[in-house]
This record gives sequence, C-alpha cells and structure tokens, in this order.
Amino acid sequence: METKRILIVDDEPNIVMSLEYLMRSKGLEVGIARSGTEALDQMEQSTYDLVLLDITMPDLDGYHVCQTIKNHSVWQNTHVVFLSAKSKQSDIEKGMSLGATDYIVKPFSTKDLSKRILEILEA
Amino acid sequence: MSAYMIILITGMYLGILFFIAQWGKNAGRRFLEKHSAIFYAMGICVYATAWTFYGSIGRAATHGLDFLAIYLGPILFLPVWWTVMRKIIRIAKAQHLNSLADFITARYGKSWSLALLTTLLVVMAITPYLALQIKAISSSANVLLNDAKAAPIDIDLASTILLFVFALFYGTRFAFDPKQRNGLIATIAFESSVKVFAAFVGGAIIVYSYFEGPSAIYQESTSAGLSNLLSIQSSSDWMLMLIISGFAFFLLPRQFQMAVVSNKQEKDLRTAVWLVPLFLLLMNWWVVPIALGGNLRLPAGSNPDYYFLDLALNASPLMAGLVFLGGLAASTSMIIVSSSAVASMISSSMIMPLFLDNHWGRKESITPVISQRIGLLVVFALAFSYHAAIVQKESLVSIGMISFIGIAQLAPGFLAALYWRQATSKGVLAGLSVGFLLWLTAFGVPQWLGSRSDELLLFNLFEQWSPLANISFISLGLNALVMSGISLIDSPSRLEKNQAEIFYNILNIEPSVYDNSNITSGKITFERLEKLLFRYLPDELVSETLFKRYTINRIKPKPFDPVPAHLVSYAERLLTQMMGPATARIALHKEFESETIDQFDIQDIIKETRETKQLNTALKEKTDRLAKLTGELTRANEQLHSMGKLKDDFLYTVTHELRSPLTAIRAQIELMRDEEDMPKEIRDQFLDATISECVRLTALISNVLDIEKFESGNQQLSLSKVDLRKTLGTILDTQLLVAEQEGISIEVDGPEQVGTLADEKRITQVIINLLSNAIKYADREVKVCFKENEKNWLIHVVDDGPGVPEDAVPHLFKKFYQSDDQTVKKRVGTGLGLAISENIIKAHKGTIALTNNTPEGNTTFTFTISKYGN
Repeated sequence: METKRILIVDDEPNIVMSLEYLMRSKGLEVGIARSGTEALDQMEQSTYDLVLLDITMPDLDGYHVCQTIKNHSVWQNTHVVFLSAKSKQSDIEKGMSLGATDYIVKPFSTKDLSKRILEILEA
Repeated sequence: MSAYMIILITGMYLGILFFIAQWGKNAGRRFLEKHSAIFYAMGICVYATAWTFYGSIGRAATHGLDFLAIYLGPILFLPVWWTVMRKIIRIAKAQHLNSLADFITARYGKSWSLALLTTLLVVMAITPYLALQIKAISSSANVLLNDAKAAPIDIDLASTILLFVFALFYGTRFAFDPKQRNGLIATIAFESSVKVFAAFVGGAIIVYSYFEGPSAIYQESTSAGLSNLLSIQSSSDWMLMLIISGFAFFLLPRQFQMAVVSNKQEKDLRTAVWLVPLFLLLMNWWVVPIALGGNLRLPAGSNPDYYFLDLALNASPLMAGLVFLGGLAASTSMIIVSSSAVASMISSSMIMPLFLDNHWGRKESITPVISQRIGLLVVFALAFSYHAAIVQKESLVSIGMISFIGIAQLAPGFLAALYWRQATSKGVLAGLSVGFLLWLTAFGVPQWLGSRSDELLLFNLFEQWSPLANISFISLGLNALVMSGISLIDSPSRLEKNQAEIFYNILNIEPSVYDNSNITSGKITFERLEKLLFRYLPDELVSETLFKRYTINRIKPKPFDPVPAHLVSYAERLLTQMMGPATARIALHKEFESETIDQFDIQDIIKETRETKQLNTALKEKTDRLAKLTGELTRANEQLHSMGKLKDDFLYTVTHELRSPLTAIRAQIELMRDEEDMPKEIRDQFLDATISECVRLTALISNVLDIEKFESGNQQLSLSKVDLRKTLGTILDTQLLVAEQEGISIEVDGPEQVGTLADEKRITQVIINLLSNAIKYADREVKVCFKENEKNWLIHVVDDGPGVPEDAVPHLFKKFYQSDDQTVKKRVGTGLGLAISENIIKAHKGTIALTNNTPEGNTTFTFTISKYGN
C-alpha cells in the first residue's frame, strides 16, 4: 500500500508540531502550511490525500481554502477534515456544507484524531 | 306740546325699536356677539321700569329715601346673585328651561299643578304691574298734553297694540330662535341706554339749569322745612323692601328672561356684576334733588310721580321730549319682556296642556308658537283691561311693591330648588298655595277690585311694623314653613329625586349625566318620535337639532326601531324648550308603547360617574406609570441585550482563545504519554512548548480578569506619587534585553523627572504593552519621548516599523480584535493588551491613541496623564 499524504494547515506552531509528530508516527507523509495561502501553494506543488484544515488563520480562512479545493477540477476528490476551535453548530454545519469529510473540534484527543484520519484514508 | 307731536314721538320711537330689533336679528349679530357682555348687562337693566324712572321721584317726594331699598336690594344681593345665576344658567341650559315656571316645575317632578299655580301667581302679580306701565305711558302723555281730551286717538291703546305687535314678532319665538332673541336683546339694551341717558343727563340739566345745583336745592328745602325727606321713615319697610327687591331681582319673569334665557356665556355675568349697579346708581342719581325741587317749585296737588316730567316741561319742550322718551323706554322695555315671559308661562302651563288632553277629544292641532301668541294676547288683554277698568288710586311704587311681594312667594320653592334636595313638589305646592292665598287676600283681591291696600289690615302681627311688612313677613314665613314641613314628611318621587340631584349638583355634573337623567325603559319608535317633534317644533329646528344629533351619535334611524334612551331624553328637552317641562313630559310619554316608565336613579348615575372618573384617573395614573416603567424596562432590556451580546461575543472569543493553547497542551501531553519511544529532544521540545502555552494561558486569563474589572467598574486604582522616568527605568531593565535579542535599540528623551499621581503597577502595564508592541514591529529602533503641555504629560512610544494596516486602525483598541464572524486572524498579541491599556489610561482620566501611522516609520502611540498636582 502506497504511503498516504496529509497536509496540516494551522497557524499555531505548537499545534502543528504535535500534529506533525502524530501523523508521522502513523506512517503518513506530512506537509505543513501556516496560513490559507500557504496551504494552496502546497496543494499546487504536490498531491495530498487529505487536508487537515484549521479555520481561523491569517490571510485566508479555512472555509475559503476548502471551497477552493472542492471547486478545483483536480483537487476536488481530496478529503478535507476541519480541525477548529470553532465549536458552534452553525460553524460545523457551514464546514460540512462546503464538502468537508469531517469536522473535529479542538482540543482533540490524539487517539481519536488519528483513528478517524486513518479510517478516512483507508475507506 | 300738541297731541300730534306726542303721537309722532311715540310712533317714531316704537318704529326705531322695530328697526333695532331687525338690526340685532340680522346685520348686528356679529356686533352683538362681540359685545355680548355689555348687551347682556344692559338687558338685565330691564329691572328699571317706569316705576324707577317716574316712581322713585314720587316715592322720594312723599316717603324720603326708602325708594333706594328697591335698588340697594339687588346691589347687596349681587355677589350672591352671581353664584346663584351661574347655577341657574347651567340648569336652564342643560334642561332647556325658558321661564321661572319651567324652572320650578322641572325641579319638582315636572308637576303640572305646580306649573299652573306658579303661572297663576305670576299672572296675578304681573298684570297690575304691566297695567302700571301702560298707565305710565298714558299719564306721562297727559302731563305733556295738559288736556287729555285733546288727544285724537287713545295713546295707551295705540301703544299697547304696537307693543303687542312687537312682542308678537320678537317675544314669542324667543325661546328657541337665537336670531329673534338677538333682536330682542338689542332692543332692550337700546331702551336701557335711552332711559339711563334721559334720567342722568336729563336730570343733571334740570338740576343745574332750572335750579342752581343740588346743594342749592338742599339749602332751599332745609329753609322750607322739607329736608325730613332725607331720612328713612319706616325701618321695617326699608328692610322689607331690601329683601323683597333682592328676591324680585332673581324671580321677576323679565329678569329670568334677560339674565338666564338671554345669557350667551357665563363669563358675561362678570360684566353684569359691576355694570348693573352702576346703571342703577346713575338712574337714581338725581332722584332726591328732583323730588325736593318738585316739592319746592311745583304747585300743590301735582302728582309727585311726574315731578320729573313737569319740571322738564317747565324747562323746555325739548327737555320734556327727552324725559318722556326715557319714561317710554322704561315702560316699553318692561312690557315687551314681561309680556313675553308671562305669555310663555301661560302657553306652556295653561294652553298647551288643554290641547294635549285627550279627554277634550281633540286632535293636537296647535303649535307652541301659536299657543304662545294666544298667551301673549291674553296677557295684553288682561293688562289693558286692568288698566282701563280699574280706577288707579295707587302710586306707581305701591303697585310695583305689591307685585314684588307676590313674586317673592316663589322664593322659598325657588331657593329650595337650588339648595335643598329634600324639598318636594307637594311641599312647594302647599307652601306656595298658602303664601299665594295670603297675598291674594291682603293685596291681590283688593288690588284687582281697585281698593287701596293699606285699607286692609288683616294681619297686624307686629304693631310697630307697617302693614306691608307684616303681610310680607307672615305670607313668606308661612309659605316657607309649610313648604319645609311637608317636604320633610313627604317622600319625593324618583324623578323629583333625580332632578333635585341635578339642580343641587349642577356645577359638578357632566353633561352625560343629565343626558341620561330621564332615561326611560318604555319604548318609542323613531317614526313616532320624529312625528311628535315635527308636530310641535318648527321643521328647521328639528333638522338642526334631532337630525344633527343622529349624525353626531352615528345613529341610523329605522322607523320602527326603538329610540335609544339618551335620545328620548334629548327629545324631551327639545319639547321642554317649546312647551315647558310638565307639558313636554305629558306629550312625550303619551307616545310610549309601554306604560312602565322606569327611571334610573340619578344619584346612582352621579355616584357611578364620579367613581368611574376617579377610577379612570387612578387607572390613567397607573397606566402612565406602567408605560414609563415599560419604556424603562425596554431600554434596560435593550441595553442588557446589547450588553449580553457583547458579553456573549467576549465569552465566545475568550473560550476560542483558550482553546488554542489547551489544544496544543493536550495534544503534546497525550503524545508524550502514548509514544513511549519518543526521542528525548522531541520530548523536551514538547515540554517547553507545553510550558510556554501555560504561560500564554495565564497571561490570557489575567488579561481577561483585568478587562472584566475595569469594565464592571470594580477596578480600584491605588494612587501614589510616581516618577514615570523611574518607572520606565525599571521596565527597561528587562525590556532592553528583549530588544537587544531582536537587534533593536531603545532611546529615551525628555525631562529628568516626570511626576504624576498614578497607580504605578497599572501604568507599568501600559508602558510594557506599548513598548513590547513597538519592539515586536520595529525595524531597528524604538523611541520613548516625554513631552508636556500646561497640565499633562504626553508619552510617545515610537517605532520605525511598517505601521498599522489601515483596516486595522479602527479596531486597535477593541477587545479581541478578531471577533466571532471574522475568521481571518490578525497578529495582535492576546488581542487584549491595547484594550486594557485604554481602560487603565481612562481610569487615570487620560487619553491613549495611535497618533502617527506612516509606512515610512515613526509609528507613534501616545498616552497622556496629568502632571502631579493637577
């Protein structure tokens, strides 16, 4: 089975750091972006199976990034999983309506997160 | 003076009266309304008749000053008169009452027998008085003529007929036609002017041209031994006349007509209160000098009543003409008004009921106007017959006085109507009968039989009193006694009770109450009511009143529907205006289908209205207070709501901000727990990160608490004298290191000592905040400058960085600059630093702002704080 690639998009360095370690420990290849624009740049450069996306970020927010991905002819099958501190039902519904595969609220359990990410990637 | 001349003067004068009446009716209407108070007061001066004009002098010449009582009485009563009149006018207007008889009848259960008795008394008392006025016209004409037989026509008959015609035109439609009433008011006011002019100016001319002024007359009289006339001869008569004339001023039919029915507005009473006494004073100003002068100069055997005219005749024919006109005005005004008033009483209590009574088996075919005209004919016929048939022995004053005493018999019932609720119709009927009979026996019968009143001394109760005083006292006393006695044992009907309440309380009653006062539960259809009104009222009056009422009350009359009760009550008042209260009641109630006429208790209605009113006032107050409270609540709610919204936003943002460090901490700790084979350097990295996230959390929490303290007003500053240069020095000890690491230099500029009164810990917080922001964004250099103006220190913190983005400027000092619906993050610390700084500076009564923001550097934040001692 070929190695799956995941793009972590978050502006909090300590969160990125732990996510990166977590994903690598599960055998995934990890790309990192610290803002919305950076995320889209990364998408241009290489292919990802899943984007783990924060919402509140400098420059371009996560919703916008998701929308761009889902409207793109090549990227539209890429899974998008939101990982956000925004916990209101309306925020979650908005994220899901944009075509996301899942929406996980911060703070998260590392076990839970890795399990769901792997499930999505193996499906 | 020739007979033709006299006839010409009389004829012309009466012609002028017609002219003025016509003017008042049409062209002069506006003028009359504008000066209604003057016209009203002059109308009331109809009180002064030929008895005043000629009779006062006659009385003074024989009895001295006692004539004055007739005028002092009303003047003394005037303060009372004013308040009583206000009440009477209100009642009369509310109930459409047009005469004294109407007034009394309405109060006492609309009893027809009382109406009849009152009218009878008035006719008996007033007819001789009217005859007296006719006599005054003919006698004064005879004085001018010297030889009565030389007259080619009978002057009294001719003037009586002319006055009858005049009254026919202007007196009969008086009750309901304001135009006719205006005509009459204008005429009477004119006549009052003529008589006062003749009396005062004519009197002055005679006193000063024929004599040498009043003092000369007094001297001459004193030397001739005639000055005893300057005293009051009989004090009992004097007192009696004061009281009786005071009553008469209320009760005479002509006074009721001019003071009540002709009243246009209540405030006109105020003018009357001073104008009427002035008028009476002027009328009597020259009475004594002329009486004395007449006694001195005129031949013995001259009639003292005509001294004025005789003296004027001696002076010049012109003077004689003036005085004659004055007398004519006095007589004619009285005749016109009194005859109309009495005719209206005769019509409503004697003629109309006859035609309503079914026992006569006649169809009602008479209108009130025709009935009044018949009444007028009766009055004139009676007066003229009395004048022609009875040899006049009495002086003018005596006839007047007897008539006054007769009228005064109405006083007990009248006063009780206004001020005693217990008085009943039976009581008044009995009292009035007693008084009437006594008066008749003592004066009435002898007077009608032509004998002298003082020949009959039936009741000499007090020997020292004159017969006049005795009979007045006894008749009035018994009248009042019987009236109150029977009233006390009698129980009034409900209608009487209602009317008593209205009459007693009129000043406090709302129109709606007397609108409902006569509510009946019997049924009358619109068809029958309209038919009834059209039968008795002129067509145009029905459309002006009843139909208007329909429109106002939005009533849609269907012929066979029952009429609402308030409308029945209104119709009754309309009929009352035409035919008096008793007759109106009979006429209306004959039309009812059901016999049961059940009346509400007016006392209950009044009480109910009063209670409702009080309740309404209380309710209104409560509602107002509630509305105010509601407003306050709404505002408070809105405030709370927006405050709540802010709070929600704040809370949401705080939790959101808390989530980031918590997320990192949890993730890192979980990883450290789960990944046993985690390399040491990564584990150390994670531990450092966890610690720094905890520091971040602590800062965030303390900032949030600070903000809360300031915004809830719970923050207390602990003020002390602070030197900001020293404070800055302490801060720089740590901040210089941070800056150095970033490769940034810090420069300080300004005076050596910067003294202020401040909470040093808080000000330190502000300076650190500004400084660390500056270091974060500076390119190479940060400057801190202390400047001053008169009262304040200005502290500038400047960096050479790229400046604050334009779109961020308005939000700089807001809490958590990125809010809920903003998902694009801005890089501003915890988002609370500047907000807290602003709160601290505001608490020190200073200001903080971004004062320079250019991309070329010199981005400046400035705060101010007052100098020490300011």
